[in-house]
Amino acid sequence: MSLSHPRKPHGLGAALSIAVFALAAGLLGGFASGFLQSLPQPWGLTLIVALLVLTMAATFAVMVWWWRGIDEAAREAHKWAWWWGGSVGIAIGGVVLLVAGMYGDLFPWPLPTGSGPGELIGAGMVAMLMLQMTGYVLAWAFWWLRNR
Amino acid sequence: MNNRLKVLRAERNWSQAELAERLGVSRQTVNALETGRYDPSLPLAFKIARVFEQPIESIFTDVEASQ
Repeated sequence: MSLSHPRKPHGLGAALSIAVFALAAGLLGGFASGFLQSLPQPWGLTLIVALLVLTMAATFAVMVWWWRGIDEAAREAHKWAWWWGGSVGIAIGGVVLLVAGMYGDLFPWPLPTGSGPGELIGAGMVAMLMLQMTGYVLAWAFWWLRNR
Repeated sequence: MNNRLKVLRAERNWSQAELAERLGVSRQTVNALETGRYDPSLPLAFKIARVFEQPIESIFTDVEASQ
């Protein structure tokens, strides 16, 4: 690496680009899986698995490109936020979802009662992911504010 | 860990953005380094030493060792 012309680290534009790519890949994978579900077996299941694996692999490849392009302080912020923010988010989500599962009628928000196992598993997965991501984003912002 | 990054940068009339460009890091990272809130990795510390053409120990001071 040349000392006079080091590579410029990825900035906000790259982060927004991968966010848009991940969202597009998720929507494509989700909608296409719904369409492929109507195909006869085993082709439907095979194609859904192949599509989702390809979608995840493509997203992961973009993430690797982005991770290698940010500088070490940015990586440290993400690692710290992933551990502390993500863990706290999962811990809170674990308590909330377990209690919600046991005492659903006491909660003010409508729970997806009457849904099938697939919908309930999906709702739980998304709820945990949202709580984890919320903790992650808050912790990431805290890291940069603290280290200004 | 204390450091003399801000002084060394001021002596050269470099902005944080200019130093960031020379180091290949973001301006926010330079700011975090200068305030002493973030300690650089060994490779980045050596790169800083090369950019300022100074030995690494003249830029960074181990606070615990100096007490």
